[in-house]
Amino acid sequence: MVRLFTRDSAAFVFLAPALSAIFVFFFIPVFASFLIGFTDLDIYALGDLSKVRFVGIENYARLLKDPLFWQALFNTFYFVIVAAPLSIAVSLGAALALNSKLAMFKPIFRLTFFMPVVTTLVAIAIVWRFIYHPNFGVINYFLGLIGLHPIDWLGDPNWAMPAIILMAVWKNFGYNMIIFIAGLQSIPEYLYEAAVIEGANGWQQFKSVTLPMLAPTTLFVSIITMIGFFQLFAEPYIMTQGGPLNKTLSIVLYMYNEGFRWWNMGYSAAIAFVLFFIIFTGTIVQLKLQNKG
Amino acid sequence: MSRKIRRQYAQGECYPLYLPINEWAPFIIFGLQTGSELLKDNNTYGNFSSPAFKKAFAFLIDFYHQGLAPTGLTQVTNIYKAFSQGYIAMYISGPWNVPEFKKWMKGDLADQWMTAVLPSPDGETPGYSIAGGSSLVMNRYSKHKKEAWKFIEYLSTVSSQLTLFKLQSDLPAVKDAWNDTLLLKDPYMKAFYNQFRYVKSLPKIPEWEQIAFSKVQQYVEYAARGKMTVDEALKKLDEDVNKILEKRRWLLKQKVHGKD
Repeated sequence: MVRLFTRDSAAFVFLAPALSAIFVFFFIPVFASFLIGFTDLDIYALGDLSKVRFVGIENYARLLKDPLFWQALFNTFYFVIVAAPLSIAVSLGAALALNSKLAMFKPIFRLTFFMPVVTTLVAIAIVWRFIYHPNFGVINYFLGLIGLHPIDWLGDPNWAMPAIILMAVWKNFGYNMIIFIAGLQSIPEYLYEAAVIEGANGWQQFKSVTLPMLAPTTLFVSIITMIGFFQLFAEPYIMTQGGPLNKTLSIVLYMYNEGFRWWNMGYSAAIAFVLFFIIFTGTIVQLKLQNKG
Repeated sequence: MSRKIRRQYAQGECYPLYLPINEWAPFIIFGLQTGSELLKDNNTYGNFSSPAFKKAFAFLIDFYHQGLAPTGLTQVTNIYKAFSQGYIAMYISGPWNVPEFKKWMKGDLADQWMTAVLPSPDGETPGYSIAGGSSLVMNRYSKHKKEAWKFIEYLSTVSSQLTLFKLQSDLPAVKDAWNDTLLLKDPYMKAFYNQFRYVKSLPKIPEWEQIAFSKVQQYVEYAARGKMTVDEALKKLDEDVNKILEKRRWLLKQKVHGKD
């Protein structure tokens, strides 16, 4: 039989469908929006392409002077820096609790904790709007029981972002929890047995066996969480529309408004690339830190 | 009048006027009433710092500062319920809201509310409002112009206009439709009929939506919450609007050069 393909080219043929899909649906659009970022493509130009101007780096220069962009950048970092570690800590805590030999009804808890992840955010947002309601909300009811003044969670400029963070952490920790549980279950039992023989207490076991063995899982979880949280959009879009006083305006929400509400595609594309660059840098920094550690 | 209403309530949290900080329309309406030109130089520059608009803007912002209108959005989750419970006493809205208000103002409350034309700065009512609504347009490149025109004609008949009104309280644009008993008998529609003779139109440019929804609203909120003074807010508003209109200035310039 004549061999039509060498080993390498055969592999390439098998990969071709996937590669071409990535090329058509990823690389071309990304390249196109990179180009759009250097034009002023807007509602006039969408109607008549002769009205597009090439503006060079003007979109990026305008971004640097745009107070709303800086506000959105600040809000996004605020969200990521507070919510990501919190979310990872909560998922790890839940995973440890559910992996413990003492825990009962494990499947029920696992299901309950995972439920928010698979529930659509719109439904969740409606419920949380009630929870956060300044007059009838359950959180303010409990605050009242211990004698604290009610807080207008979503209406107060200082409390809106913490409220969004709380909701986002609650919605997302179940996903990371499942990954952590898988990580915990892959730690061989004999390591703990050895630790016990050496006389290690619970905390020492956690610090010296569990955490190091979980390091690859933690790296994966933190990168995925960071990337996901930098793209904060649906929570403020549904709950606050970026308000009050733009305190919950995230980069992606700003990008969406500029691009798809006001049709400033060029400006919007520039925002997208700034976000891409931030996430890219964040991922590399995390990988570097992990390799050192 | 708002202060009078406030005194009548005396206790409990309530507001004479509901002026949502995410609605630009009242500010633009009152601005038109004081005779301000919203955009100047053929709609290429913002004109919100003009004394006329400033007067209207400051007048409405004062409602927030005096506690006559709520500054939060979360305080009123259901405007109809808030109205029927006396949490708010006045609300600026359109005819589309009348059926829903009727639903909530039941029993003893049924004859306790009414619609009214907008007040005007000189005390003579009615003051100007914006017509809102939308236009029927035929595309220049349409292949079915005849059919489109027929459809527009059909929508403009008295009977279709009344059907639309019955379905969703869209006020008829055809004057003859107003002679129908359905409208004459509805006391809540009378104010809207009178208001119709006192309307001004908004700048007809594609950028208007962004100016109104994103910029006017943003600076209304900043001023209402006391983050900026009225002067600061309007100056920034003009700056932002001028940036938005940069493309329009360029396009108009191209046109002029093209003709030379």
